[in-house]
Amino acid sequence: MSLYEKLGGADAVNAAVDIFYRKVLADDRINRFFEDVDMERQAQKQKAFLTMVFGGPNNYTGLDMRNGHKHLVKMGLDDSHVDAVIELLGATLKELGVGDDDIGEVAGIANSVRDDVLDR
Amino acid sequence: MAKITYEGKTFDCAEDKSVLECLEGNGFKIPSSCRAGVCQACVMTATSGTPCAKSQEGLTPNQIELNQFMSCSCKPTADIEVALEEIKKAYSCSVTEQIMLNERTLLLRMTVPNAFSYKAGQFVNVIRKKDGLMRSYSIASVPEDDYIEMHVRCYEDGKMSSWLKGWIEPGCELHFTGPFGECFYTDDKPEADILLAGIGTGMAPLYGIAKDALQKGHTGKISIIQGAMSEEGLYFTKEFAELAATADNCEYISSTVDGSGDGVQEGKIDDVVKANFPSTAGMRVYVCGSPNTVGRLKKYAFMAGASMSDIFSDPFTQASE
Repeated sequence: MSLYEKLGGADAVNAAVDIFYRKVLADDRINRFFEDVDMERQAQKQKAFLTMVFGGPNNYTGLDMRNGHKHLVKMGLDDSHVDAVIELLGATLKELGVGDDDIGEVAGIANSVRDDVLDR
Repeated sequence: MAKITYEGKTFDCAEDKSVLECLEGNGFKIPSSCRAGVCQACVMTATSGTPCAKSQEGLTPNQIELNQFMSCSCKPTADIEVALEEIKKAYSCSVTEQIMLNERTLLLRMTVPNAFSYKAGQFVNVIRKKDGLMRSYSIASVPEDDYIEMHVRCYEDGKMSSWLKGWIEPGCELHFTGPFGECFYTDDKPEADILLAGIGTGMAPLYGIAKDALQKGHTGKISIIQGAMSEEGLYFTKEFAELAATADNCEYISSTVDGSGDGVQEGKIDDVVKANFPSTAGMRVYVCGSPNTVGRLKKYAFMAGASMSDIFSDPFTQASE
């Protein structure tokens, strides 16, 4: 069984998105990167992100990741912010009762796109 | 083999192909991202035929009622006609009533054009025939009414509002396209509490949505909150109070920033909403009004517990020309 199936697939993404997005907006370390954007569109992006880091099917390329975050890198996005996102991701999964091993795997996938996101 | 019709052309869709893949295979560019039925980048509308249930998982009940679906996850088994943005028909009607509700709000009632159907809370684009001038107005009536009602915010230099106020009279013909918008009541959660909060003519769609919910027998509590700077800015208060009085589960709260007005709660609408609803968990929330207010109320409703998929809004922007 894949990680995505183990976590519960699309249902897990739908359950996680509200919790995760709420944590992101409440977190003063990173919420400035998520403000002033259409909330519905932002929630869709979060869903796509969660699908990817849950090991689900996705079509992202490194280039997409670079282009999608360039404006944020200009705003000062750095490793500390990626760390914060991964931390909130872990807290979200913990709330949903996911075990530490699986959380580690999700964090690993998120980490694998770090250099692309930070455009280096 | 199922056939897919898109932009006036019909294509055969191979059995294991999605609507998205079929259209891409025929040279169309359709926005997409995860292609796994999650991100909703590839949402389309079925203008004829039924999308499969799988392609609507995770969409809001409103999107489902509008026949929207994710084209990446829909492998059609029967013929289907799809569109990225549904093209809306033009209708004409005649004005039957014109009343100034307060200094700057004009109520217009008109006849319901043949074959025009809408959901309470949706909006139409009113078009002035002679020069094509267009403005969006929400509908305050419900489909069961034998009229369409709109509340027009009048601006001193407003081209459309001045025209509607000064030149249109009962019997005049009016043209519009529509309906548009996803801010309307759905009866899939009849026991959920509903909050409807708005300012200005944002109250028009909220009135229609509340009336619709009551007519459909909604059992959860329905709370309507109207906000304004001062009592002069409040309007339709009697109508809202009367609507709320028709059911035990409906309440109407009016509020003004300066505290003026009978029986109002004092404060900015944000604070009034917060004071009355410290938690919005499990609630359906509808917010209408200026974009800034809508943005703030939406964010509050979400942070206070409502799910993103239970928050509906209609930001009203003033035309810039």
